[in-house]
Amino acid sequence: MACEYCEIIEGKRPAAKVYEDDKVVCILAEKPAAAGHVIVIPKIHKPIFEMLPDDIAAHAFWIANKVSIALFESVKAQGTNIITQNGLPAGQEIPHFSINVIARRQGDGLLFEWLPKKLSQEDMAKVEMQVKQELEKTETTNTMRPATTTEKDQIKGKDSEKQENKEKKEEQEEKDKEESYLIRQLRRMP
Amino acid sequence: MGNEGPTKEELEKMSPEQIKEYEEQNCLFCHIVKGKVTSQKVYEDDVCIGILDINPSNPGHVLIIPKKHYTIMPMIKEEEYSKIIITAKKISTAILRAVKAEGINMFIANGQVAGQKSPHTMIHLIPRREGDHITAFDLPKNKIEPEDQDKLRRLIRRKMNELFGIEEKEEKTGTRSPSETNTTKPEPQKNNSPEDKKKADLDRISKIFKG
Repeated sequence: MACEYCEIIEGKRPAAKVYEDDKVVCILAEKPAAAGHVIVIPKIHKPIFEMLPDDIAAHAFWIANKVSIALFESVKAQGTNIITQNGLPAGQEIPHFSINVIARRQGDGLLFEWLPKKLSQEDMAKVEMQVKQELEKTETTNTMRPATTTEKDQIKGKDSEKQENKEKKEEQEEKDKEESYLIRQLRRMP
Repeated sequence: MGNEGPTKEELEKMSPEQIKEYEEQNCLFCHIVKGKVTSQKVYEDDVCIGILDINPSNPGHVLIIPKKHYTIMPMIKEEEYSKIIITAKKISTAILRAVKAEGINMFIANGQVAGQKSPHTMIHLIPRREGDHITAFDLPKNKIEPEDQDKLRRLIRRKMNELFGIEEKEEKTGTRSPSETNTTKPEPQKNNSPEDKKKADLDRISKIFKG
């Protein structure tokens, strides 16, 4: 099954591009949330944020910041929202990680707000402990992960079936280490 | 400063540094960073902290707060910002595992109109699961006419080129430039500068998306 974003990156599918470099491409959303809705797409195909190499993740968000400034200055945005949808329940529709940058204006009818849930002190303490424990585990096993040679080649556009298969194998290995439940969810996507 | 805070006149006379200092002295999140106000901290490094939101949308809702006081994300320099994003990735992964979430929304609000509640910028990491009844991140999908889409594309692309010092030849669609293209309503031509036309276009396009 072809990835819509990969097709755009490879030039096989038209899109309204507003910026491109060796690591990301920025396009206008086909069905935008507002007048000025840009999607920042890393050229490397990873379904979720947590699987991106650190340098690509940082660069994509840096570009999202620049897009924010561009929206302020070019389409009279009075504010911007940066939103990612990681995983099906978070609203992800395309299994290729991307960042939404949305121009906001007074009275635009958009409301990105949630109802707070009241958790007991006990539950809050439990969550605090669980998150801290997981962070302590990652501190010892995973430090800064820059793009591997395979990933760098893919970014440069030397994409070939061999690369894809190698990457699939790496992804499979990562899957075993990363949150497999989340990835299983993503694989159920049509 | 007295307990009532500076008057409007006093604020106007303050230098940018003084204003910044005043903001920081009165910023709840600066107090949290400095440990003057308690919080449930799950992470700390030299550029930011991670705390549990006291009014979470879901268990495991974490705020990543830069230690320095910045009003909006675009104010942060690249090196510091990159560190914060890499931290966000680390914490996001930890939250997914800790609360067995099925997804995560990252949310940043730049500006009051975008839902920014505090003058200290931050990143929200919100764990999600099926049936959690959170609709905040369901992005509306609107139809946009190809001509309007193209107008927006040119404006934003030109600005991005400017920000990155990219030189690109201005494209022309057919025989008309964007400022001359007329789609639905013919506008009075007299005394309309390109800037006025651009503003009118943007106003018209923005109204399409309202409710």
